Amino acid sequence: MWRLLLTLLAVMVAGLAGWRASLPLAPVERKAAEPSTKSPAGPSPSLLLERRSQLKPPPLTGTGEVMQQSVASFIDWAASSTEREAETARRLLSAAAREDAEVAQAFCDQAMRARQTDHSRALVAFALLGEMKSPVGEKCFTQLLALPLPTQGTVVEGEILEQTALATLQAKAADGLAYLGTPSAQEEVLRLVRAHPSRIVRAEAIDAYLWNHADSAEAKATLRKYVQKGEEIFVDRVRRNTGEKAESFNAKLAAFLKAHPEVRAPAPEKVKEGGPAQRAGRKLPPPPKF
Amino acid sequence: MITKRRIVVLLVVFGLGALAGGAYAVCNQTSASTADVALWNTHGCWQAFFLWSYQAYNQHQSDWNGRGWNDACNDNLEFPKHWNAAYLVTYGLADLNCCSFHGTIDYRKLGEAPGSEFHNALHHTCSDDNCCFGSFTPAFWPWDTDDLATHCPLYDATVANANPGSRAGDFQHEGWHGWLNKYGWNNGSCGGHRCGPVGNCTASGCDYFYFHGVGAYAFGALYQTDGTANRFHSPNQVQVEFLCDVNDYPQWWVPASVRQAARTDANARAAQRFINGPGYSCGNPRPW
Repeated sequence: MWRLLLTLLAVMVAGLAGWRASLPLAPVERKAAEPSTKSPAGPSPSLLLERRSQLKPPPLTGTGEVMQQSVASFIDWAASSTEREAETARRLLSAAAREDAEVAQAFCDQAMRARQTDHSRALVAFALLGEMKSPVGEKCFTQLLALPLPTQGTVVEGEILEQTALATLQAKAADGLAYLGTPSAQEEVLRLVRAHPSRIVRAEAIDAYLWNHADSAEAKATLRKYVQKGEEIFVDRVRRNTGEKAESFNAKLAAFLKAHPEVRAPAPEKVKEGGPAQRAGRKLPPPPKF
Repeated sequence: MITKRRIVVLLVVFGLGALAGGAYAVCNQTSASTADVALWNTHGCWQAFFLWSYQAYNQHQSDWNGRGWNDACNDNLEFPKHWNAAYLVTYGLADLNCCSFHGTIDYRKLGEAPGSEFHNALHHTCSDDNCCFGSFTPAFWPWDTDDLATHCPLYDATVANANPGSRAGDFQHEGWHGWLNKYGWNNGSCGGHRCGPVGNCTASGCDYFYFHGVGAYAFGALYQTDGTANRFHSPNQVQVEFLCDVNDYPQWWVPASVRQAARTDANARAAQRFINGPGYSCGNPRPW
């Protein structure tokens, strides 16, 4: 009998603890549970952005280690740069590519250095290198694409993180080669379409080839000779171009769906009629003014 | 053989364990990715925002202790990285009627905690389970709220998805599981997805892509469905659409690294995760 009572007591305690934790906090408790910081509070973003807009891009100069530092600083600036500064970056990269082959190599070095520790930094560095349209860049992208995809690592949702990370950087390399547009670079892009082991890279190579050929019928015909069996639909895939408006995008989508009725999803299925009853939440104040 | 005595002992230990609360391992707290740092620098230690954000996402000290709850401006830690992503959702989109898939009002309601047409009330936690980028767990007790957890692969700076766009994209993804749960839709038995690989999906958890045009959903109407495939969404799809909106139609000040990472995640996901894929690709493939 006492055992049964002890068991019931344990279950009741567990339930009460959960119930108590879920109760809306009393004002005193809520205040005590607020997050806090050891740093001094900063101003609102609109003030910070005013100051930021006065920053100038660092120069791409020097040789050896000085050049490496200069490129590293440029990557820092570019990573934080805004839409309004994109053309500035492009202009500077174009000028640097014309004047100094060492600068492209420094971008390659910085990108390779970052690729396993800071993916977004590597992505930015490879993107900047691709924008330069440099033969040094072509060599760098070829080296990157030659790296084998890891077959072991951290598995998350069925994918190996290290493999996906490298594949997405190799996809950026495909963008760079397609943009460069030399015969050897284009040949490499088509080889990727046909034979790269990652779907991510093949898909990006197809998209980049098309975009750099103005999505022409000729480009699609060329790709159809290279695309893997089962991936033909990627040649017709709909892209929302940067700055594209609804009319243009929706027309493309309609044409795609007409040409590919097989992509229409089946009717969704219900498990049950509705979910749990709506639990009334407390009213949230609006977010602070930007 | 399990005796009655052992069962009683186990239940008592379970009861005491529930009282004590879990002690969890934290994520890699040594650094932040370039994209996280770049976005962080647009707002710095904006105390007013994180004091709002923890309420908006119904975060509790007990879940975020040791993860930056009391060091909320140390951007190496999970709680600051969480509100960095929340900041992107709250302010980072341009909401162009001409061009965006959905609006801030949609993405906010989908990720934030309060119950609405989008999902029942929920709270945000953090998990060190490397199974997933995120997870949605319906409430067990009637008085509790659903649990939207973001996991360490979204915080460990060495992982490609440890950037504010991907993290915020996961708020959308898991929030949509909340929508499916609220309205009783079946999206499959593999963690709320169809088991894969299947069709054009090469992942272990797959969705359908319910193609729609720009403007098909007024801002605020993402939750709507007519019960057919003509007006429906899946978790990976809302994630892709959010990431595409971050890349293609952000506020002018959103850093380039955040946009590049968002586009990369969107396009990789769109190429791999849809049975009837690929989903849209977004953004020009021009390198910069």
